[in-house]
Amino acid sequence: MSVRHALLALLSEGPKYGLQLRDEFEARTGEVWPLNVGQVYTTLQRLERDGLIESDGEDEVGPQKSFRVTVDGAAELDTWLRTPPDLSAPPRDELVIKVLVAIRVPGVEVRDVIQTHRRHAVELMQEWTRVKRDAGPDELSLALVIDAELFRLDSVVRWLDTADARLRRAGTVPASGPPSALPDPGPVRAVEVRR
Amino acid sequence: MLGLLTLAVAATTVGLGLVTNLQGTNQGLLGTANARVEIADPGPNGVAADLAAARQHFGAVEAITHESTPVPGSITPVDLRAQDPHGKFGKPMLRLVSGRYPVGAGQAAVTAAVATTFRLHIGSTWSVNGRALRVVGLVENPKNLPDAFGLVAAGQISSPSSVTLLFEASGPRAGSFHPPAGSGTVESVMASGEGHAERQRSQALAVLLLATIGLTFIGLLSVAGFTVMAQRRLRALGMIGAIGATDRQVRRVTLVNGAAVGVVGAVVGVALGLAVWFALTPAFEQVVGHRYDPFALPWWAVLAGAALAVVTAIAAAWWPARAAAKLPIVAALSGRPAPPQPAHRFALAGTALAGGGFVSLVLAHTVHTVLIVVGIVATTAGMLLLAPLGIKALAALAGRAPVAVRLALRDLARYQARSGAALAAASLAVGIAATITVTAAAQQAHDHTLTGGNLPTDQLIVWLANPHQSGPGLSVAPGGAGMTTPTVPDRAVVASARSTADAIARAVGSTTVVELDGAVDLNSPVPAGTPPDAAEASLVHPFTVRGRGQGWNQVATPYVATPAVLDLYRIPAGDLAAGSDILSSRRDLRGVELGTGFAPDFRPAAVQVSALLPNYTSAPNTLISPKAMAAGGYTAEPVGWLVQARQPVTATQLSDAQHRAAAAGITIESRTGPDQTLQHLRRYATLAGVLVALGVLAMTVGLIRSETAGDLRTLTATGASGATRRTLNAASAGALALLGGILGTSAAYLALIAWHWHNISYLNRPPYAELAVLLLGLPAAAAAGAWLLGRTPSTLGRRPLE
Amino acid sequence: MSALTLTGVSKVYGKGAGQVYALRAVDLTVEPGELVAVMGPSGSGKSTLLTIAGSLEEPTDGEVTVGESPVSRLSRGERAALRRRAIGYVFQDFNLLAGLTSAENVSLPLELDGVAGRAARAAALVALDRLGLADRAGRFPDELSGGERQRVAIARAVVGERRLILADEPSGALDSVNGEAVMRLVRETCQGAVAGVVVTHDAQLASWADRVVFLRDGRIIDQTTPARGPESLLDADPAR
Repeated sequence: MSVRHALLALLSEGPKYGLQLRDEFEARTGEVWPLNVGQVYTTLQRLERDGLIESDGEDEVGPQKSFRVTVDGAAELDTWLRTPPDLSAPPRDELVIKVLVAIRVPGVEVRDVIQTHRRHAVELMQEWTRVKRDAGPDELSLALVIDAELFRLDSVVRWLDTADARLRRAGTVPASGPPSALPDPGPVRAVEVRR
Repeated sequence: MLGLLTLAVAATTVGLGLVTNLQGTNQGLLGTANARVEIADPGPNGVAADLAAARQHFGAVEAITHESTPVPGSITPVDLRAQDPHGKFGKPMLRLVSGRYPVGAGQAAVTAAVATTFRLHIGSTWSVNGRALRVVGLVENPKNLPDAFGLVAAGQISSPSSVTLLFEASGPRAGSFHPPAGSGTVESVMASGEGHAERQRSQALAVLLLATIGLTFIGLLSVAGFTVMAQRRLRALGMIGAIGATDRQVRRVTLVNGAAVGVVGAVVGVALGLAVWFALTPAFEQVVGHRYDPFALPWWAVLAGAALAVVTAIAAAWWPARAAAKLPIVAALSGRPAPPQPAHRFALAGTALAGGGFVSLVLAHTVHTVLIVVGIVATTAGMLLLAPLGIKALAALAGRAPVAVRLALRDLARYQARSGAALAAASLAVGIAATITVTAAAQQAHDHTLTGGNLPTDQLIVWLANPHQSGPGLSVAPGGAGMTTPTVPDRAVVASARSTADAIARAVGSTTVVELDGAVDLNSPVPAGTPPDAAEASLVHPFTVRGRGQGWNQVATPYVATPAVLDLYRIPAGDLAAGSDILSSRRDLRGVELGTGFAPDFRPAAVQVSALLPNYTSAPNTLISPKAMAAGGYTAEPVGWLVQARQPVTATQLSDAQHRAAAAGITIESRTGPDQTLQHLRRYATLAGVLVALGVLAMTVGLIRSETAGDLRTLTATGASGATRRTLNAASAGALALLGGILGTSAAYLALIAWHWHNISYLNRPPYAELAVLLLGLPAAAAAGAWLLGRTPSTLGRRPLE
Repeated sequence: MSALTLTGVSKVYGKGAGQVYALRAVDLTVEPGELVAVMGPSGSGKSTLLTIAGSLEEPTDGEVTVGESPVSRLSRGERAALRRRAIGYVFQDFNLLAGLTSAENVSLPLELDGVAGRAARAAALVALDRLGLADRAGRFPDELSGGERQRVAIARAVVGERRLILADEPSGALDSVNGEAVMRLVRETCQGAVAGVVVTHDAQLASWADRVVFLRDGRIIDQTTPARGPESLLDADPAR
């Protein structure tokens, strides 16, 4: 987690106080990443120790102490911005494991499991979209963060869709037929086909 | 696309057949002989003498004797002829329709027209000049279908009114024949060479003209179709380009397609055209007035048409393919039409071409083949280049129209390439029809001025007295001192004749009955022995015979210029100059004198020429002014009634009218001569032009509308009812038809004005009814048809397949 | 009164052995002010659902009610009138009539309904202005960008007194920012008396809806519960 680099970035704009840094961090990330003051000061101390920032002389850590970035710090920030993040998949994706397990557990309808997760993901997306809709046009950072979240959830939904289609093609799941009762159908109005 | 091309080839094939066989041969008069001499009044024994004399001169001679048979109620007699059905020369002039040929005395065969006139059928009896003939068959003159006659066996006419001799001799030799004394006088001589070259030339010219126009038609339709196809295929072509095909490959794809369409269209079109041609031959034979060999087609022109269909299909495929290849692939993929060329550029070129064509046709003097072809192609092309301007004008008008109409017109303007080509094709179809129609009308006018036809086909004259030369039916009452006084008929007689005229008018569907009055001098006593009709004022050319004194040649009998007559010909009262004695359409009345027929009191008359008066000999072509009436002390007395029908009078109506007249003791006069043919031709040409134009429109509107299937879906989703969608179709078709009608008719008139430049007056009588059909009926029919056929696609919800 | 009600709607294409069920006994109610997304893969019957809701197609079985109008009991003409007055359609493609300007496209339903040209044009300009297209009124569709075209289509769908907006992949051909702008407009339109139905296979589009209905093989199999509000997000672990 790079709170460290985020603080470096904020300081590269000019000298700032510790509390100010926390407020700006939260504002820039759309207030979706809460940060406590302790975390801020710990990080600042480490940065100062590593020679990436320097304070205005006073030894005590306190709200009146202001920090600025050093030459080394600017170089470190630049290197970090250009270093690709680790995009490789997490070793064990919980959702993938759940679906894989569901295929093998007798009496469990995989597509129902998939749909449950899909519904959950879409509900989350609806909530994020609502936040985005209510946000003002100048809240750029917020929009970017929400977009990232939406795309991540979207990729989950797409994986579920693909899994659904793949399972269906593989014949694991009957092509059509009445869906079995869902664990938590909510106010679903779907009814059985009358024949 | 294929349909359009097929239609064009088929229509051209049928048209070529019709034009080729339009002109009859003179076999209807000559049979297989090459000379014919007509001898009048041979007398009872003259026929044998004439025959003997002719045989001495020419060897084999065939005689046909004629007996004039009066038709009750008509002033036109019917010819009863004695002819051998198997005669050496006359055989082709006779064909048995049903029954059998008459054999021996007391038997006769008649043509359909005579059967109608006398209400005859096989087995009935026909009284001719006091003898009873049993009708045993129906016959016709296959080379001259309008020929109406009765046929008896050879030698069955004892007192012939004339005899026709058929033999083989050159023209000059035939002309040198003179019947022996007392065996009649030569009335006419005819040899096969006469008029033959002229006829052949005009026929060849007609075929050439039609071939030119037909081939242009085929070419245009190909271009129209392929432009639409190319537009539709634009995306596919873009796709082919996008996957790496070279321009040449793209072109080849369309070229192969064009060739395939061309070949199939040409073959199917010729086959279809021939099928229609053979199927309609019986009907066409009635139209052209003679039987013909349906295989006598200008095969070279038919084959050229087919070949041209293939060539133009390929060329028409090549051009859009080239354009598509030039188009950036991205633009092709987007399927957007290329921006239309500015219409004024087309208009400029169009005006220039049309003008050039006009000049070329004027210079051609109706003889220079190359100039004629160039002129026609240029005029046609010129008018067609003006098409985009018309479409643009329509689109400009569209701004205020209801939304469906606006959309239709805008689409036409936006997709100018295809609507322009469609319009061009429709215009040409209309243009051909208009040309034939107007030409037929001009030909009629031409014939009338040349032959002095007696009356137009839509007029009858009910004469008070028979023969009509006796005018007001005067009689004489004895006066003093060897003088008599002219007397007019009893008022009751006139009133009864008038009511018969009214009844006849009603029977032919007319309410226009105009009384014709003669100018009669009832005041001057006449020397006894003078024919009573001499009291009617007439126009004479004076001449002097040396030693015998003054003489007069009667040239015309004027009718009184009553308001009714002036009104009939739409002559404003002010047109008659104050100083004029005579108003006439005739230009040969210079120097005439006016007076009654017996007294030497003829005085020079001031003649005013009016083009509004008719050219027909029996129609009131010469009128006497009120001023001259007063000066001569003449009284206006009715001589007959002119019945103006709305349509040309049919044979049945005429027969009925004659029976009525005969019952009332008066006579009627109707159009004589064979111009029914042209009348029919006009009607058929209009009909065919409308049908072909409708076919073209149906296909092109279908093509244009199929392009905009997506629009229909959007319209439906937006809440357009079926009526709106039908209106859209109807507006497209109607607008194209209207523009096509206007352009086609204008082009036809332009060409014809140039053609008849030196005799422009032939175009004075436009065939209003037919033109109205082309200009108003066609758009109405197109719009109505599109409305009715503009069905809603069944699955609007589905997106059309791309 | 619901803006749209589908009761037991089935749609069968073809006959005999070739029979295909596009919809099977679908029940769906859309309330005024509500935007419902119908989500499903290709062939799930979602486009059919939309065309039936918009009275472009007739269901094989079942009832469709738009506002107070029972569609199956309406004549063809009355259905066309319903589409002109109450329903606004937005398609992914084939949206605008190429022969009409933006303003004319927008005023089309009004003009078809017999509104005088001037009044219809004024209403169209108001609708265009609301979507920021006032300066594009005189342009023809092929002179507009993809996003502008879709906005014109939305203007047409909302012009006049519409109560039901039906959209089929309304931002399908657009990039995500333009697509989002379109969905934002649709979302803002659906309030008060106006309801909307969007069919899509795209979860991001669907997430603009108040309720997402999942369609599989012609059946509604599930739907989302109404949103819990933004606060709930902060409870979730964002950095999972």
